[in-house]
Amino acid sequence: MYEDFRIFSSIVTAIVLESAPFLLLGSLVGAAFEVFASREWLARKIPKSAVGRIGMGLIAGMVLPSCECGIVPIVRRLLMKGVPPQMAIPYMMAGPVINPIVLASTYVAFQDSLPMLFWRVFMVAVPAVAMGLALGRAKAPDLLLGGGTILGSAPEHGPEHGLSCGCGCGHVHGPRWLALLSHAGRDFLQMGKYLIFGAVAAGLFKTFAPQGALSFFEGNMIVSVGGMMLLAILLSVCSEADAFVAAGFSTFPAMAQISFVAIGPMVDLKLIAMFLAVFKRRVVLALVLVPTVLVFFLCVLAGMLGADWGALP
Amino acid sequence: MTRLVSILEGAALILLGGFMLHLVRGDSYWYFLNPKFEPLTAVAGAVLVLIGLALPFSLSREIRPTRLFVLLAFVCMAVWVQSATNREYTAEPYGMEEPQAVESRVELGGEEYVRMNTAELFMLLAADSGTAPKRVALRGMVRRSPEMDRQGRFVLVRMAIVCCLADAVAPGFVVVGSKSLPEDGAWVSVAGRFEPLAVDKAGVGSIAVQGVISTLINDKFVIYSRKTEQVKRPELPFIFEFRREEPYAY
Repeated sequence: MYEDFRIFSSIVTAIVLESAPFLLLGSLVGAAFEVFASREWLARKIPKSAVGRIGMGLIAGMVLPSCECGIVPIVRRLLMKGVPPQMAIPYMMAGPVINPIVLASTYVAFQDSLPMLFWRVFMVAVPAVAMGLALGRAKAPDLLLGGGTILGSAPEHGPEHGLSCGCGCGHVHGPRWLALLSHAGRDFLQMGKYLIFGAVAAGLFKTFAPQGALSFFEGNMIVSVGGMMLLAILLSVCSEADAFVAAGFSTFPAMAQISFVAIGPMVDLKLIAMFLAVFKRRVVLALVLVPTVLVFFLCVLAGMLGADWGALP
Repeated sequence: MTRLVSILEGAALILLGGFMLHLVRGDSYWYFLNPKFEPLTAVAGAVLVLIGLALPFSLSREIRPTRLFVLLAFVCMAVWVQSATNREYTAEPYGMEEPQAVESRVELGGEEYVRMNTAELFMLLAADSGTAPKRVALRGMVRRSPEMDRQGRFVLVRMAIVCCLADAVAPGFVVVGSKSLPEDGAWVSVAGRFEPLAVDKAGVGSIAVQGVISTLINDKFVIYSRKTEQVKRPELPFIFEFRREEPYAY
């Protein structure tokens, strides 16, 4: 019992310590948008068409890379600053994968396999595009808990007003660097709570789930893909390392490995906890179900059609 | 009240940041994370301390004690597990090898054996067994089972971590031909050649390293031992580095 608790505590501590710098970076970036970027400046940068917005969301990770832990506070701030959900949500889903760091680690983990890299990007891009299209012309208050107002500010003030003000008048008092640090700190605290909850859930699974259970999922394509997806969600491995973990499951079909690395950065225990802190329940449901269903069916279909890492599609 | 909450939240962030800095400065970072992330953890820890110092100067209207308690509970748990793990590793009966530079090859009986770790060999064999060196020198922990004892075999395994303990797997190989079976849990070095052999899964199925995602025992190749000897646990018992050519990380 003592050893189990020690291992559980080690895993939770490891997950949080690994994620913390990226969550902090995401909080700082989000705070920087809050303090320094005006709505007008952002509006000028955002494409007007749906294709442009979704496209920019898909590739924004190449310019603003972030792991899945750090991206949620960034996207929350972007939405509150008026960035359309049609752009912000695809960025949230695809950014943790379509960025230079994860693309490189995926390529190396799968032994320099371009097809496996392609499939990972494809399986992430499709749900991201689907969510972008489904969101249409939705606005931030339709998605965010509290309707998009920053918690703690007076309800008559809009989302662009900062937390750093304690009198509720809605203006940022004092130096901007202080506003930046306080926004970042409070975002970190708020998201950090859910990160810890998710880490605890993942730690419980890792400590007490029997390792031999994995062999049950090796049977056929459907069971393999479903099993690997479930494992990815429960293990909550970061997007930089998950390719190496997936590559280790060499007895599983390639598409099952792809399903592991595709679903993990979009849906896992840490992310579900953070989604619940930020988005309305029906949005969380969509963020979980849409990628899960699409990745599952696409991977099973691709696997049954004979797609493997040795051949280009 | 809001000032008090801001002070407490700032203190919690300072505690977390301070713990991260303490971990980087000490010898136990590797218990949790790949040492390559030490600079990142150090910077994040310093920034958290800075934010913690700044927080009391900017009030928030929201009072959310739950996030404060959760963070404080986490810091307490992290401090406890760090000292508990430290006690376990320093109390280990096998001691700890002093860090030293090693040659990339070791000679035995006129033959050269390439030093590498179990993860590197595992990855090379998975990609193309023709590229892996035929004679290898590995080190790792011994795992035994009653079925394998009957066959005169044991498993050599070692935990491999890419980023953090949460993504740890334990790649390993069945070792045959050893004159005597080493003690379960002991650290050994094995110099031998790998040969293709279908491994009886029933024999290795019960072998599991606790705390990892999966214990991956290679089921296509075994190591025929030329020499097996007990060694001290390396300074970094986990594998953090994976190379695809000589000199391997070992």
